[in-house]
Amino acid sequence: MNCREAEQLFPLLSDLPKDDPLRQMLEWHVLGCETCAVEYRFWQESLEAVHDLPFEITEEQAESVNRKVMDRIYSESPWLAPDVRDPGFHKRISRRVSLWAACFLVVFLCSTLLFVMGGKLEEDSKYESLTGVLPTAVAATDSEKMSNVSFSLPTEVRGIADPFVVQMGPTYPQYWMYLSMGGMVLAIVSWKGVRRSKR
Amino acid sequence: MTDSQMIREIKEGNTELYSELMRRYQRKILAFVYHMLKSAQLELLAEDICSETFYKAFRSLHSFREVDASFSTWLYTIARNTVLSELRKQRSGNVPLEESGYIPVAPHELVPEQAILRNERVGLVREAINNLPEKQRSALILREYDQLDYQEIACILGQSVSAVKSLLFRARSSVKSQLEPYFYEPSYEHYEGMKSR
Repeated sequence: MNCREAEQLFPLLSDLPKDDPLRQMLEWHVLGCETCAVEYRFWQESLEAVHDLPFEITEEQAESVNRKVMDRIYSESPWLAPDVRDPGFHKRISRRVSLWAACFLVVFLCSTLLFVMGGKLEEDSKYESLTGVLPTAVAATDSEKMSNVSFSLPTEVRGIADPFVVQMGPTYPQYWMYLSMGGMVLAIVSWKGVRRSKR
Repeated sequence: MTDSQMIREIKEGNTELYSELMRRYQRKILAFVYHMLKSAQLELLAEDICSETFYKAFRSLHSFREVDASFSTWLYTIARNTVLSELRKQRSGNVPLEESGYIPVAPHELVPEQAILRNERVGLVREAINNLPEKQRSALILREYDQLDYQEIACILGQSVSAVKSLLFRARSSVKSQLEPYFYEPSYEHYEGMKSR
């Protein structure tokens, strides 16, 4: 390494690792060259002087920056501020809403089951209702000749003027099905509301 | 939790996490801002500028894309721009030294003579750094005080790695040539002698 090469290397000296061959070559050169040795000392001292600038950041200073920023964010966007309510509040509400939903689900399942089973039972009861009692018109006949006679009884057709009666009431399973479905929907809506407020 | 995970959660609404994210970089950014302003003797503004940097970063977090740069590089870029705009403002306002609140303070453990020499030396180094063109000054501070590598500095300054090397070369050469007369002075030798004792 000659003096010119050494001169080019001095400014980058602090970036070279200790075991870098260029650095080692430079140090060897400096040992044998008085002019470069003086230059080398100046370079080292100037870098040391740059590094020695008094500078200290305390933990309080750093934390004060943090606090200032967060305060500013929350004051300018209050909706971003953390929720100061009881931390268990949301958990409790969620648990209750889940319990309601579960209860309504059970009611729904029971009523559905009853509805399905009830329909079958009704069908079965049609066969059971054949008790052997003859219809009055037939019973009134005393002669076998009458067996060919047919009666034309008026059929039960609801007129347009007749009121429509909804077969709903606590005794009908459909009533409980609709009621529990409504309850579940309400529970889900409340649960979503709780989650949104938590965020 | 990594920076990107934190940033994702903050974007999703967990604002409190930003405080934690800041804690990872607040000292580094404060140090950088402090050095940039100290050379102009405006270090009292460092905390405010640093707060402004983090606030701006929070407000623009939605536009931050990790593929372009790391979060720290992005923060340094915001910090540098904020410092530069503050320096421009101060220059146009021409705030006198006394009003900037700068009071040179000597460490308590030094005897008065040592303190004077030390203050003189510190003043010279600061002046030398302050006399550098802005890009050289930023590169020098990022390298010497924040220990960033060439690639990161290049990203912050919007330059190539070779340009950063060149900036550092010129910055160090300039500082050295400005400080060189001081090293010849007998007072410096005296100070060095006292230091070694």
